[in-house]
Amino acid sequence: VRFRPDTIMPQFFPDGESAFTQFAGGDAKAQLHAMWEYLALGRNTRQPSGMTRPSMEILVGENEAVMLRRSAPDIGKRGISVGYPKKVNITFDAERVVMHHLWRGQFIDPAGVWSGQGSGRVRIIPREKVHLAGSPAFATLTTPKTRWPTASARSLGYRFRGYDLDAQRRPTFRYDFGDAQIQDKCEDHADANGVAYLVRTIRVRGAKGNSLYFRVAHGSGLEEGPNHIAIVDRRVSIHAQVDGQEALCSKRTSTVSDEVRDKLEARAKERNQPPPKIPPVQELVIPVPLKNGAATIRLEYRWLEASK
Amino acid sequence: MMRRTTHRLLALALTLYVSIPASAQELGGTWGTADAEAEYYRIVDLPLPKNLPLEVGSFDVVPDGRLVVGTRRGDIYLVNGAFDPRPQLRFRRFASGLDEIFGVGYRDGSFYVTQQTEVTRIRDLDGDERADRFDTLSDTWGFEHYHEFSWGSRPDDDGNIWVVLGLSASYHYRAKFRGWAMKITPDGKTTPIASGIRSAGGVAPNEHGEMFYVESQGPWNGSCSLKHLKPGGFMGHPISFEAYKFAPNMGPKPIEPKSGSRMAVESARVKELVPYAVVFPYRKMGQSISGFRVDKSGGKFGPFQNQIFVADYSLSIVMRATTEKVNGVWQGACYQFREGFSTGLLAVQFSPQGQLVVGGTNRGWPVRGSRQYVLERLDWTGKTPFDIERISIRPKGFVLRFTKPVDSKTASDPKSYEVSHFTHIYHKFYGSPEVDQGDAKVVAAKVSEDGREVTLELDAITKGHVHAFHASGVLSAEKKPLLHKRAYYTVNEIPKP
Repeated sequence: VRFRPDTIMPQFFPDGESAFTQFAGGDAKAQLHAMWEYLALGRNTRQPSGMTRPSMEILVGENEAVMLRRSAPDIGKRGISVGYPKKVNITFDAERVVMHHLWRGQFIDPAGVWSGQGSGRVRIIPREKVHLAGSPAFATLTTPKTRWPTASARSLGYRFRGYDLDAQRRPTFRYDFGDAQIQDKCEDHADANGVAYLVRTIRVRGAKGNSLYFRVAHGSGLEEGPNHIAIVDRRVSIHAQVDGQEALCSKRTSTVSDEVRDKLEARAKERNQPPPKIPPVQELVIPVPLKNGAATIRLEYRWLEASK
Repeated sequence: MMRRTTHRLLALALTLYVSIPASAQELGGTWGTADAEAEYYRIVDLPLPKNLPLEVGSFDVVPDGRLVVGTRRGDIYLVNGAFDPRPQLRFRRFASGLDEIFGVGYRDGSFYVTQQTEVTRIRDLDGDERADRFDTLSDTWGFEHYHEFSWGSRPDDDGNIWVVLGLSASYHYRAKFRGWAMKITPDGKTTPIASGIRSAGGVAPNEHGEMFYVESQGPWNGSCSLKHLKPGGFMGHPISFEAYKFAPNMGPKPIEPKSGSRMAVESARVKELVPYAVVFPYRKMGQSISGFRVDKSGGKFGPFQNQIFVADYSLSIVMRATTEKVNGVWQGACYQFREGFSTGLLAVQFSPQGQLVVGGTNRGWPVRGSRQYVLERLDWTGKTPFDIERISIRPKGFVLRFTKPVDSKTASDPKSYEVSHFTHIYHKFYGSPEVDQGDAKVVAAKVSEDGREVTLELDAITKGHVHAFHASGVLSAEKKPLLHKRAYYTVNEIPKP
């Protein structure tokens, strides 16, 4: 709940009479006074009782994946949440064309978008989740040291094209990056102990040149584990292969996307603060050697601690 | 610090204060005709399965005769039995997980779906009646706020989808192409087609096949209206002009309309400005008009074939409209039709049997109907009501056509008619009262030979004004009064003699 200027309100006091009799005996003047007192608290106002919306939960069955294309945390309107039958879940950003969150356990609460006018966003139910990659996911780098681009995915030639569903309703996302046509699919699996993990297969076709790189992860909690395995937030390991070969994962210093920087700067300006110092972040990057413009990347996401 | 606090309080106070007057969403009163209407048009409940929260956002019918429902929760259902005399419904969930669906249309084996973020072609390739292929046809527009609703048409004759994109938070241009209409070809080529949209409702062809859309009362819109989506046109709200830089096909941006003026004045000055074709006077004729369709049933739905049927969200009613092109500009009239539906209506659809299916929800905004999830149907009982069938303009007045022959004594008496007129302030503020009111004098009322038409000669027709007709004295040949005595004609142009 927050103040939204310009909201067109229902008429509370038709002809000066209060329509609500259960407060202050229906006395319009007293009610107006109470509203003023409440609003006078400004930023310190607390949410009125009765305004909390009841939570909901989208359940994922044993046999089929479930999707919801609604506003998702950190993504915005073009969010896609996918819950897989083995209780692992992801979000995909169809605007920035990148897989964003990864978590396990319960899926999402849609109350933010399925109640009232739908002014909120989907809530990821478990607190524990990892952020995988900032956009863009792929880049063509002149040298392995070239900085990762920070411009918007759209301006870099990314286009979200849609998806196909398999027999278990699991999506294969389709998108273009310049000439390259990419198919991106996650499949949920369970190990011998019944612990779920995710295998993601990204097929690249029609790519030009031979300097394509893929960003496995982007953020502040990245480590290089043994055997080229990347670790995110000390929670999830990512094992990357390209065309069956171990991928050489290199950790580099990076920065946030232009969009994130612009937002932080705009917010500071709005509050009359100096431009914010944006700390560097890290990224884990693998080269994607192409054969006839094609390559298949296989990523295995496993949780480090034992099953919950 | 103190000063800042004061400013903030003032801002809050203004918000609260400005919100309360005329623009407030108080629901209008009923027409009081529901019981009488039931003799001619019967509301049939289409019972929903228990635990199916069906929030209707859009409709179509597939060639095998099933109803297609696109929902606000992002599902597409294929429904058996919706058009049966005693409806027992069976729902097949064809697709799910989409964003709010305010446009669905079937063509050549594919569903063309307008969800908020994109227009998507959806197919079932393995034939199990569940969608498995989703192709993004167009997603060229941006988002900055949840209140940026997109409405889409069914595929037109060439397979194009017309999408209207509401402004940000209903006042602002904060993301690309908000406030614009786009035309999307079956292979995804996207062309900006019109600017100046505020907050749209349904998009569909009028009875002559021209694409129209519904606009809601708000800034630069004194009341709700049906508007012609004229390619290259400016629909009235100038805040999205900066997107002309993304739309070279639209030419240079128009000159700004003057706030506080009148539509008739500004549409003469701003050449791209398309005046409202049919104004729906606020509260008298709905408060949030929404989906609409033309009756092409060839008479199965009664005497109003080839007319537009428009739903209203706030008042849970359905109205009629007719349009005609005068001096190259679309205009026309709206008429009361049927009230008493059970929830706020977002979509309407004619069945092949000539019934009108309606649906909606009461979620999010105040509505008159109290039920949460509703699918209803309107069946013509076979009896013809005595009503104003349509109003058409003439150089010196109007022709009122009636559904049945009139009583020539009352119908030829000018005193049987009251004609008043008014317009709205065309300005940047929310909505408008009715202004510049006047009365037109009925000089003569001439009944046609077959008794179905009356030509009213007026002392003057006022350009740019809604002409409100109250035919209170007219009786049918059987000496019965009209079922609905009021109708409203928007005069943008007066035909030349």
